Amino acid sequence: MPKTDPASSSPSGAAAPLVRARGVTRSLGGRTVLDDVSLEVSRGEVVVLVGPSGAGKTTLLRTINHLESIDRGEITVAGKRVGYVEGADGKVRSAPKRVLAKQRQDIGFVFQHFNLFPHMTVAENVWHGPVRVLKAPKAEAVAQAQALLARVGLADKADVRPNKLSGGQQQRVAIARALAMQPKLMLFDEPTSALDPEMIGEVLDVMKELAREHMTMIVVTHEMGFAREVADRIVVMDAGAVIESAPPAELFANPQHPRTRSFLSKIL
Amino acid sequence: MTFDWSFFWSNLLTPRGPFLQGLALTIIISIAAMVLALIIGLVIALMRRSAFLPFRMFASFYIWLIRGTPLLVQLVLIYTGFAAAGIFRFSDIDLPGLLIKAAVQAAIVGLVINESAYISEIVRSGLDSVPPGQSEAAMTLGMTGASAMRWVIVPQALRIMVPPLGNSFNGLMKSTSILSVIGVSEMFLVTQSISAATFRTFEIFAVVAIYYLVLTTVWTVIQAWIEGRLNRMVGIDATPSVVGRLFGGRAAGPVLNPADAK
Ligand SMILES: Nc1ncnc2c1ncn2[C@@H]1O[C@H](COP(=O)(O)OP(=O)(O)O)[C@@H](O)[C@H]1O
Ligand SMILES: [Mg+2]
Repeated sequence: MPKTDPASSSPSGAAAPLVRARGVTRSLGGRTVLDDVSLEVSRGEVVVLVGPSGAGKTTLLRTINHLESIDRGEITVAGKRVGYVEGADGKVRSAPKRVLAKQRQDIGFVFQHFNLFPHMTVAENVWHGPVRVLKAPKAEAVAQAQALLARVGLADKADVRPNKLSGGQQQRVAIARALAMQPKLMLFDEPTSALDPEMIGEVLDVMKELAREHMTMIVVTHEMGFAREVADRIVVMDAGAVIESAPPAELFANPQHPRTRSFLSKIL
Repeated sequence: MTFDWSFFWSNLLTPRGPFLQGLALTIIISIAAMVLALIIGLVIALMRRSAFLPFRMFASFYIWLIRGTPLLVQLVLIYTGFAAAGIFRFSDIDLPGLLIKAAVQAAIVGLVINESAYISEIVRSGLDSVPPGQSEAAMTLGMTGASAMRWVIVPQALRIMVPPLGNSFNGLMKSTSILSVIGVSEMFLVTQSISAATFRTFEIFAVVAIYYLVLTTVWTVIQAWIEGRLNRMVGIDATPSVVGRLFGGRAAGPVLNPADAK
């Protein structure tokens, strides 16, 4: 069954952003963690999200595939609200579980701590989604998994358990697992910050290659070398709000917001 | 009175027919009760985790009620008490080739109710032991809650659940001796009647003790095999040996990070 894409089939589809967040507000434990956040990401764009710890970067990323619900505002991916449906009466309700699950198939998520399935081999981790969720023929999915593992440089690790791999290798498997669903969008939450320094490069290399292939990506990271090299835009968050957004060269040369300046001075 | 060795050996090595039937009934009741208790325990555990408040309240009430009263009292209430009060009376079920006595039904129902309350807590803590990142990872792949349960949560929870569930089954096999009070002719009741008929009390109880030991030991071996398989499923190679677990206690649990064990 071909995936239909309402945004691209609508007249204005080609120009419409893949991700559009408007006025997103979310409180957690009595604190406003996201305060009226708006963000647009075009197809093929690579956005790096930075900001001090506690700024709300993880929370924003999680609202995009509805791992976290929102109190106010609206998030659409490919023109459709994620996790919510608007009824005929104009009221917004939670989307049925199956609808949400279907939407998430198009959104890959890479966690800081990998979250690989420890009871499956590396290859099973990668083909499980296509087989169980997309109902792809097993032989095809296994072949695709093998190809993806080769792409992230782990063809020889297909049959081992994740706990036998280094952190960098586990994160590359996690990326392959997400890619196996052939997502339209990839979200990365500090994919290298749990890794030993010597393993960061191998993970960033995989992500750089994805960026070159025009995958739409939102990446929370403090790796400014990576941002400078592949980001189309850097978005700076602070205290639950987006305070600045600019291409890397521009942002590094001429940060506008004083808190961007103080943040950059700490990490550059 | 001296220990009658020939009585002991003949009853141990060539048990009488009724004793063997009692042994068979003990095994059948244990397995039937455990299987049903696993199913009901899982249902109660899921109710306890449900978003629907009445389910959670019912599950908590059930666990509180069952764990707060002795099995012996529950059995007598179910079999004798309910009948006396005119609430419910078990009667023999006569299927072609299979007669299930009223007392046996009551025994299984009683054991299932009792055991399921404990099992539901084991299942719940097993499910809780799987880190939330696992179901989040499953959801980001587009799995529904049920599918994440089936493929991601339960397989990992099993590894945590099997040791305490195995202990439960071990306890359940021994608890069947209580069924003698409602007249189920399991191994213990048969032993009592042999004792009453022969006055060889010490000898025959020594025999039955050995039979219970054989049952629980066989189960320990089976359980070790299951645990080993589940550990290998998550890439853990080291499992305590059967001899170690029979005589060395359970101090050496499975090692999650093999590097730490060296
Ligand atoms: N479940 C939660 N309950 C209460 N506070 C939370 C929760 N999750 C996050 N927060 C708070 O929200 C703020 C933003 O968190 P997060 O999005 O993780 O920031 P970042 O990823 O930018 O470091 C932090 O102050 C954090 O303590
Ligand atoms: Mg974070």
